[in-house]
Amino acid sequence: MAEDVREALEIFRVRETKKDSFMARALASLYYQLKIIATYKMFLAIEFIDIILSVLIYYFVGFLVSPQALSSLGYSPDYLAFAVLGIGMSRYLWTSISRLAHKLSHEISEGTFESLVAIDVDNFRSWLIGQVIYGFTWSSMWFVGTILVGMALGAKISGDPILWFQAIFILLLTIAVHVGIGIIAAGMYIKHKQLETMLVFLSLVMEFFGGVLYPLSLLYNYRPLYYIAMLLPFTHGLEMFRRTLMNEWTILHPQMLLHLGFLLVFLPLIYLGFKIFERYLNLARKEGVLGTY
Amino acid sequence: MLGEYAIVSENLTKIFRSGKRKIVAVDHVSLKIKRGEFFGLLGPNGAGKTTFTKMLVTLLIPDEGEAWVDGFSILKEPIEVRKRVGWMMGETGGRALYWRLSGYDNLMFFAKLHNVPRDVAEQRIKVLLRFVELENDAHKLVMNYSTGMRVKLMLIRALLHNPDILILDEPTLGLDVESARKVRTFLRRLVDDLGKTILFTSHNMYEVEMLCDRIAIINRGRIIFIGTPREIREKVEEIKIVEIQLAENGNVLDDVLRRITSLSVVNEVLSKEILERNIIIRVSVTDHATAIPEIANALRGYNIESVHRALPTLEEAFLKLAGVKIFSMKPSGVGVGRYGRRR
Repeated sequence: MAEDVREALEIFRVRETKKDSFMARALASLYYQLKIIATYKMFLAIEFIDIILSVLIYYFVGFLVSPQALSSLGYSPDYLAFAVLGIGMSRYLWTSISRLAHKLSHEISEGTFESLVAIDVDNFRSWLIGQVIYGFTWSSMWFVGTILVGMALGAKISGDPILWFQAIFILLLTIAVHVGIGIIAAGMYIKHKQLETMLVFLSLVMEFFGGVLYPLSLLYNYRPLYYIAMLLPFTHGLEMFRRTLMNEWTILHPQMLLHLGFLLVFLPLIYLGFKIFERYLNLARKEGVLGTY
Repeated sequence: MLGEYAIVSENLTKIFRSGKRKIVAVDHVSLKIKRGEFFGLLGPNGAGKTTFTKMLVTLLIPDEGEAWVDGFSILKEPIEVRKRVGWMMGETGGRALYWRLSGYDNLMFFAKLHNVPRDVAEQRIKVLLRFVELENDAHKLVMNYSTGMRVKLMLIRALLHNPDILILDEPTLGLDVESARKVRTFLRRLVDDLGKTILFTSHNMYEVEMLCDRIAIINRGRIIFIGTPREIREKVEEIKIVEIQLAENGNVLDDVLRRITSLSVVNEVLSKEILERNIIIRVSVTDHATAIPEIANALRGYNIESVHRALPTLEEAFLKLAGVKIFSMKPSGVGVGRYGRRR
C-alpha cells in the first residue's frame, strides 16, 4: 500500500501551468453532452420517427390548402415547402429557447449542477455556450432531416447555393437572438422551477404569432395580433428564411432589409441573457436552491 | 493576517427561510484553519457542517459574515476561491456525477473545466484510478458503479486540479474497510508531505481522532468547541469513566448490566460491546476510587480481565459538550471492537 500512496502523491508534486481557455471549456461541455445523448438510444430512434411523422402531417394537410390561396398571399404555391421550412426553423429556435432550461432542470434534479457551480470560473458562460452549440448541432440534424424528408415528398425548395448560404446566415442570426431568450428562460428556471408552464407558454406564442403553419399576412386583418407578431424576433427570422428559399429573395430586397433591421435590434438579448442568468444564479446561491434533494 | 491561514471565517451565518419559518443553519461561525492543517468539523446530522462548507466553496451566499479561502473573499472573489479549492460533496455525492458518462469521462470533463492540460489530466486520472482500484471499471458508465466506487470517483475529481485546499464532506462514507484505510493514509500524507490543507467533515469519531490536527465541534449551527482531539477529551475529564473488560460470552451481558446499574456509584452505561469472547462496558461513575472496587465486587464470579479508569472518547466528550449523540451510523472501515478504545 505504501508504494500506491507514494505513487499517488508523486503526481501532485509538479505544478502544471493552466491555460484559461473559454473555448476549451465550452467544447468540453458540448463534447460530453453529445456523449451523454448517445447513450439514450431509444430517444434517438424516436426523434428519427418524429421527423418523418411531423413532415407527413403537413404533406396531407397540404392537400386541403389551395395553391392559389398561398400564391395570393405572396408565396410560391407549395404548402408542403411552406410548412417544412416553418417547422424546420421553429424547431431550431425552439431548441435555442428550451434546450438550456431543460438541461438545467436535469442538472439540478440529478445533483450535478452544484458540482458545476463549485468549479465555475466564468459565470457559466462557457458552459452555456457549449450547451447552445450542442442544441444547434442537434437541431441541425433535425432540420436537415426535415428538409430532406420534405423534398422527398415533393416540397419545392430553392437549390441555389448562394441562397442557401443566405438562409444559413439568417438562421444563425435568428438563433443568436433566441439564445438570449433561452438563457433568460434557463435563469428563471433556476429560481422559479416552473419549467413546463413557462416553456408551453413560449412555444404557443412562437407558433401562433410567428406564422409557423400559416402566412403572417393572414394576421393582417386582425391588426392588434399582427402588431404583436411584428414585435417578436422569431416572426422576422422565419419570414426572411422562407422568402429566401421559397421566393428566392436576396437580403437586399427592401422587405428583407426591414426584417433584418428588426432582428438586429434584438441581438443584445444575448448579453442581457448572460447578465440575467448570473443574477438568478446568485439569487439561487442566496436562497440555497441550487440542488433539489 | 490571512497569509498564515488557508481558511478564515468571521461570523459566517446562513439562514434558510420557508414561508414564515426561519432556520438558522449556521450561526455566526468564526474559524481559522492554518495552512497545512488537517481540520475536522464534527457534528450530528443537521448541525450545519454541510451548509458551512457550501458557503466556503461559494455554493451558498451567507446572510451575514465573511470568509476567505486562500486569502480570497468568498463574497467578492468567488471565482478565485473556486480555482483553489477541491470540493467533495457528501451524502448525496453519487448524484454529483454524470451517471450516463463513464468514470473516466466524468473525470476528464471536470479536468477540462478546471483547465488542466490534457496530458497532465490523463496521467493523474490513470494513477488515481489505479490507486483507488477503479482502473478496470474506468470505462463503465457511472450508473453501473456501486456507492463506494462513486465515492472514490468523487474524491479523485476533487483532486484533479491539484488544489492546495481540500474541503471533503465525509470522504470515506460508503467505502469498504481496506479502501477507507487507504484513503485515510493518503489524505494524511497529502497534508504531511505536500502541505495541503484539508477541512474534513465526518460522523466518524475514529477517523477524526486519527487524522485531524484540530477539530471543531458544531451543533445547531454554532461552534461549541475548537481544539485538538486530546484537548477535547481533557476538557471533559470531569466525566469519570470506568471501563470494564470481561472474558465472557455475550449471553451474560444482561446479568452483568443488571449488577452494574444496581450500584449507586454508577451513573449510566455509556457503551457496551461484544467481541467474540469479550465484553467491554464503559460506564460513568460518581467517583473512581470507590466505583472501581465496588464494580469488581459486584461482578465476582465472572472472568474479569480489568476494571480501570478510562479517558472519555470523543463521542463521550461530544455528548457532554453538546448534549446529543454525534453519530448516527456505524463508521466505515472501523471494526466495532476498536471503537472507543483508542487512547
